[in-house]
Amino acid sequence: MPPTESTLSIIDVGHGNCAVLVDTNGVVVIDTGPGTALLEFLEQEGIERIDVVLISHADQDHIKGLVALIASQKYEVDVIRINSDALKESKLWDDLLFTLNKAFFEGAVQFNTSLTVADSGGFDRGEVHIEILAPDLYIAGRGPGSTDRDGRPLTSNSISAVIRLVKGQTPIAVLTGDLDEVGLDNLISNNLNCTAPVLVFPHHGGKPGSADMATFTKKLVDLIQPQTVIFSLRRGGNNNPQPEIVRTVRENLPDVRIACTQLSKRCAAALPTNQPIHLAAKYAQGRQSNRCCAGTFVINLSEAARPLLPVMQAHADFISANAETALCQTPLNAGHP
Amino acid sequence: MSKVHLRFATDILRRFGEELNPNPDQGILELVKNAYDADARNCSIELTGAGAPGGTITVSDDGDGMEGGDIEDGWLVLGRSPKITTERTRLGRIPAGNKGLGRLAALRMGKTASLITYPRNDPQREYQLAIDWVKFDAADVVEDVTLNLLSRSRSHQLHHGSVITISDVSIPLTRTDVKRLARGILLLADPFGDDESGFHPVLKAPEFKDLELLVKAKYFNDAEFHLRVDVDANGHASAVITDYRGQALFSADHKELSSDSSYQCPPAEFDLWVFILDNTAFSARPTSIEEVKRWLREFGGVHLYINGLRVAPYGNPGNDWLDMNLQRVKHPELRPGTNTSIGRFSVTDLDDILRQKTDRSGVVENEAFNELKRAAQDALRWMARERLRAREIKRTKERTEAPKDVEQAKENLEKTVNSLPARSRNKVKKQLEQYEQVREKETQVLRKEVQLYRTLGTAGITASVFAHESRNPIRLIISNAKLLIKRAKDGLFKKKDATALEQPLERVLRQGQTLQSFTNLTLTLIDHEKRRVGKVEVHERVREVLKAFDSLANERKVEVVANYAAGNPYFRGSDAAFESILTNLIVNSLKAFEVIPPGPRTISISTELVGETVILRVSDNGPGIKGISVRNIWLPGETTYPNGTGLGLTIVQDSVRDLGGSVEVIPKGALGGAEFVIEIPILGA
Amino acid sequence: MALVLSGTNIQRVGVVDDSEDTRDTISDELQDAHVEPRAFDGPFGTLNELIDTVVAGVDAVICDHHLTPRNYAPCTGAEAVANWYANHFPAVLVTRWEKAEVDGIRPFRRNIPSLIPSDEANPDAIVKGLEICIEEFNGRFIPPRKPWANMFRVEEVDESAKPVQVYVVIPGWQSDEVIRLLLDLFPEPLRGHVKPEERFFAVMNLGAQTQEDLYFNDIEYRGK
Repeated sequence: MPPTESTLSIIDVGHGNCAVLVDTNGVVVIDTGPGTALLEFLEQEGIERIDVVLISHADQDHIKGLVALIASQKYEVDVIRINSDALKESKLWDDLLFTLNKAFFEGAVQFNTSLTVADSGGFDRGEVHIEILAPDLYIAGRGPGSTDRDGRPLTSNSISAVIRLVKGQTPIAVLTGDLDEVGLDNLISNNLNCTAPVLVFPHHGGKPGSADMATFTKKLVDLIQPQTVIFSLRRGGNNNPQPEIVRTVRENLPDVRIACTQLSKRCAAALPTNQPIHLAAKYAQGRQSNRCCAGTFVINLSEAARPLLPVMQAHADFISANAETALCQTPLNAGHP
Repeated sequence: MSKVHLRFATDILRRFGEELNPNPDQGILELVKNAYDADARNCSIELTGAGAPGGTITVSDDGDGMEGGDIEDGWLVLGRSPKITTERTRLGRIPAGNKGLGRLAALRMGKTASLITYPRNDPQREYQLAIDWVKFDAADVVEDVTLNLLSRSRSHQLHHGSVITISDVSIPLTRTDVKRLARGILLLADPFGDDESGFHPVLKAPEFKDLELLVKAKYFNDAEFHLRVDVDANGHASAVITDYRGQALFSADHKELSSDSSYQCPPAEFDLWVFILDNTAFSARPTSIEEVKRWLREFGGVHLYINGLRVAPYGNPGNDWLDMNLQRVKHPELRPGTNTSIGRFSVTDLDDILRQKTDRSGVVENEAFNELKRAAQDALRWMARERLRAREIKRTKERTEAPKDVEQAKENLEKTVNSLPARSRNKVKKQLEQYEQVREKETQVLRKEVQLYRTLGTAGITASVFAHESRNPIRLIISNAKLLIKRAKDGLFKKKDATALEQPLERVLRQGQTLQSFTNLTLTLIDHEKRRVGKVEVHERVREVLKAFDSLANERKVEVVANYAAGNPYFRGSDAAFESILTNLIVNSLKAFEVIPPGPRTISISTELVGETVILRVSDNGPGIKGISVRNIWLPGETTYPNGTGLGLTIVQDSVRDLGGSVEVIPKGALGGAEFVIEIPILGA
Repeated sequence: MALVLSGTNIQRVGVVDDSEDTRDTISDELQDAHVEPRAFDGPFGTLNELIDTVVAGVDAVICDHHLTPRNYAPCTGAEAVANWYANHFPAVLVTRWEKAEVDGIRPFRRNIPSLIPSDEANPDAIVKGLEICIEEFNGRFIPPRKPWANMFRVEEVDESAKPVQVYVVIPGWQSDEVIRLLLDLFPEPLRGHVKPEERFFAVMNLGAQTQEDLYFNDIEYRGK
């Protein structure tokens, strides 16, 4: 049964990225996160058929969720596209091929290790146009370990796919994987229209490689011009988002809404004791342990206004009640030398 | 403008040959390598009178031979290699030959050299070429000498190959040269000599018979052990290990090799020669450790043959299909690796159960193949066990025989001293006495140290048992203390509710006492007074150990029964040694009880006096000894418990021997469980 | 006073342990936490006798893993708890978390939702454990316990170890963490396939926090 309304969910998967687009003619998954979050989400939503899986780049962390997804052997998957074949020599790769098993060898799954600007539009399954903004054919062809046009080294992050979702003429969101500065500069040099109201910030709001955080952030928000910036991260661990990134976003976009999937330790030393009431009604990894800040984001694409859940006010109330040192709220002129 | 050429003086031929190949064996070996690269199966290297000037060297083979063009553009071109090493020969060999310069050196060794070759590709033709070096010496430049390549038709067409004869050799070959040649040949030869597609060189050198033999027998005689396993048509295996003289050291039947039923595989024979590559072992042999190592690097590992044909890649360098190297890393002294052994696994597979993969990369790893592997690995495991046992026996023997040796040496020394002239005799005697005293002191110190470490071993085992056992008492003491604090806060003390307080306190007390007895037992074992050699009263020691175990036995609901013989047997030794024995055996019994269903549990300890010995029996009604062979229980590290150290019974055995006694085990003894019988000589009762 | 956990009435909690002092201590603790305890003194000749006696006498049970050393019952606590669980009888297991214990517990782990370290076996932990157990009877799992059909790969087999140890990786769990299992965990007919690089399917709790918590049920071999 085709879904009655189309939604984009940017799922709280902890440290990682995962977005599920339920469109009128099918389901598209963009990155699969680590662990079982995607599986939980699909189970909760009753989704059993996935038309397209796009993996932004070949980090172990991003392919792992895919192995779990395929190995569960519960889902019908049509098309799998992984950007970069840098993993081809690894055991994880073998695992993936093994789990794809017969389906792949019998041609039931289209499986390919390229995802570039040339694929724009190739994955549309309904109203939403899926644009691949990066990598371009040049840097994707050169591949990680090589260099870009200016001789700068390309990592798997440099060729991370950048995906923009557009409904009709209206951009919805830009998903950036783990894009780094080299990748960003290459994207900028291609002069594409990259604007979108929602930006899922690269690399979970962590340091973009060796690049200067402020420069990188400014270049990125200038390019996308978002109204909402999302950091998909896990509380603890890498201790994201980096304060300098958040600050630069806010300095450059005074009215921006900043939202993290989980409550960073930088923003709240202790976890809330009460169960969250502001979250969108979809699966979120941090929900059960009260680790969510904004949790999973949901954009209802069928409604003309395309509201972003959780709603801003309820989320803001949660932050003021539970996050004493919230990076998104502290006055900009204080706290930083 | 006129065309000119760069030309070479004939002298350059001599200098090239000599300077690039300082050793004559290298040149001859190059000819052998040429035969190898020509896919010869047989190659004969004949040295006739080559130990003196004027001898002849002949290298003949049954390889592919050469056609006119091969000779002109290949064989006669010096310094260029026509071989691309990544390309394999027709039989799949990796070319071994080098540049044509080695060949030049060999050919130049005599006054004349001749080549006769019968090409495989042209069975009706043969070619002959003779080189007379005297002509070259007379000419100015190389090009001035013309060589005649004769081409003739021939009648016997089956035969192919080449014969190279170097006559009137000017510099004689020394023994070292021939030895080096033999070693080089061995690195090319099929190790087992029975692979039809292998290379089988034969050295014929009447002046160096032993080297002829070496090429024939290879290095197999340098192996320390030869393991031979036969798997019969019913899948039953038997194995025997022989020493370098072929004397059987150990043998095993199917049951001992395999814990499981028969091997589901075709009949097979497995031979493995195991080398101990240790410099002292090789110091007295004609072969050097280095050459054996080099040979094993080339051929080591277990080669698989199916119906007489070798199957790659099993046994190729780098292929370790039986995982021998992994095991060797874990047990370097007991396990052979692919660099310290060479083996042949021959399978007679008339029903084609083993199928080769279509890409010729080995055998399909089906059930039968896995069973073959299992048979081989079981045998390797058995060999390791036997070697461990042998090492233990040797260790024990050395210990008991050392004093005898010392006595003998002392006697000899005294004789010698007594034969000295009177004046110096006394002087030497005095010195010797002094030396003796110092040495005795040293021995005593060492003996004490051994005692210390053995008792520390027992203490360690006991401590680990008790550390385990202590967790619960500690937890209970803490829990009850918390309970009491809570009850105190709740005002129960004021209400004088006796049971609410008494019961937890009694538990604290009981558990505290249990801990105390654990500590005492462990500590008394390492009390240094106990390691002093003196009078050990058996009954008193037994009573003391049992007292120490009282609380643990109670906890475990185990009844300990002691029956003492009349009298008070005693011997000279250390309390620690005796207590180690008993402690380890009781710990063993307690562990054994953990795996049987609830019911009465008894440990019985009895003493009996027979002649000049006391017999101590420790038995229980546990499950008896199972899951391990009675011979293996004494081996260090052998245990059937997931948490066991496998050292307890090794310590028992060593301690009994220290006391001059013996120990035996009955797997199902008087009470139904294991029974240990220990005999110790006594001084009185 | 009765406990009501997820809608289930718990009147009395049984205490199964081979040490009398431990039984009495836990009983007293439960008593003080207003839960009615009943210590089972044993001994029990068979596993079934233990299972049935407890089911007949109480509404839930706390059971120690070690029941054999002190002449109490012929089975491990893990076996017993798994049995109760299969009968939808709430049970929690107490263990010391030693290596050998993990191996002994793993085969039953799917049916042991709550495992409490012995030094943390206080009434709060016991009640929480029973609640997790009852929730599972109702099909509700906490994330670390939730079963997923997925794949694992054999990395290495240590044949020299006794018993034989198998090292595996679950790529969908932690692709870089090697998990040690016993060969005995695999159903007998599959053991011949347990070799490096072979892959198996099983029902596993991919949300497990540590490898000690992982269970492997319904192991299947589907060829290369």
